[in-house]
Amino acid sequence: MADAHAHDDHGDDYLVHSHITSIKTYVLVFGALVFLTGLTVAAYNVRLGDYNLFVAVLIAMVKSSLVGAYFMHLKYEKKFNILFFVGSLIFVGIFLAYTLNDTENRGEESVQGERIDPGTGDYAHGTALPLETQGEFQPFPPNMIPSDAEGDGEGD
Amino acid sequence: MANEHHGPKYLSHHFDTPKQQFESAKLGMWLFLGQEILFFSGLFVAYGIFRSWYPESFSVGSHLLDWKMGAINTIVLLFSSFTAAMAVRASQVGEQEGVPESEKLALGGKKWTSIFLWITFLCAAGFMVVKYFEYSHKIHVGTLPGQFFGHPGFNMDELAGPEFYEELHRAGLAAYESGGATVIPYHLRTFFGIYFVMTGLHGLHVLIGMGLVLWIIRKNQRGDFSAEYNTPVDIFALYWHLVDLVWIFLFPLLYLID
Repeated sequence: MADAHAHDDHGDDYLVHSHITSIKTYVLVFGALVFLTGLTVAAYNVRLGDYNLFVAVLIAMVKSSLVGAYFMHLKYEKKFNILFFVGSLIFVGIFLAYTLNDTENRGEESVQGERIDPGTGDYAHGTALPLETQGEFQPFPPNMIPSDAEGDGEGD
Repeated sequence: MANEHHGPKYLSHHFDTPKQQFESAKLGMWLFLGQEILFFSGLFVAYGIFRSWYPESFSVGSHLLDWKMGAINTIVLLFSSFTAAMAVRASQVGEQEGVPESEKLALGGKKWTSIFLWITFLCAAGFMVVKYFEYSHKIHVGTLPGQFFGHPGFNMDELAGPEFYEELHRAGLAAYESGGATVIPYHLRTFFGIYFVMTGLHGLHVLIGMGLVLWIIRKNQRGDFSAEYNTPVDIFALYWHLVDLVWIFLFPLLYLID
């Protein structure tokens, strides 16, 4: 008891005061999540072409925001903790954007596995050459060998 | 000597106050969840690359999955997240001793915490049962990743039977009709690599969650938690919601492609 009295001085900084969400809120959020799942399936059956992926990801983002804000109590969480969670999501975006910026610009793949630069029609940088043209190992496709390197070859 | 015990039983000796202990636990958990997101992000990026390279494989591949099973599992997992949140609430409300009957909050206390955690456990088990049926069907038919594509039971000496070709034909036709594919593509095996690794890693998280929830139920039954101290329930629920979050994205990305 003496202990308890001593801690009275700490006031609100001593014990944990969690925000208690009402049952009604949880039920409503669950209902919204089920509705959005139905909406995802419904959107799948509508042909929107490339927008189907966009719509599906958008609905998934709304759903995860609901789970995050209410079930995970992010709405009442400390800003510092939100920073870590949202920050990691931002880095996922950077990861995805930078990687796709590479992999989407490697040119088009032809049947043999070599990649053609859609701009010039030449072999794309770093490509594997078609088997019939493969002789010695060439780090660059023929059209990209620097001129002085060719000169050196002739000199030998 | 004076510091041997300095407050409530649940307060560890290296913390000054319950609040400090709670906030440290929360901070640690959010760091872990951030790590989990980055951990899964590698697979989501791989998904993005392969889907943009081989869109037809992903179209035919998704038609080889049963979206109804995926939808059922989505609802099951959402419901388990709901019950996990209700379990946290029940433990936060506590036993409400000395509170007049008219002012008591419903569904609170140790009994309800256990009930909601058990429902969460059962939903997780249900999720894994559906997953088991999906996996065993694919292993039986031979829709498997990489070199095992067309080799039922991951057995390279075994060749897929008519069931495999019938399924491919049906999925290819469905993908063709929805405008997703014109052929049955070679890289279908890549889609199944992505499918098995992503759902497999997610399933592993579900299994770990099932273990964790049993541990939390045991602690709750032992009377470890109260309105003042329920951090483990809270932390477990955060983990469980993250598992739910990953599935929210996996379901449309794997099962619902034109």
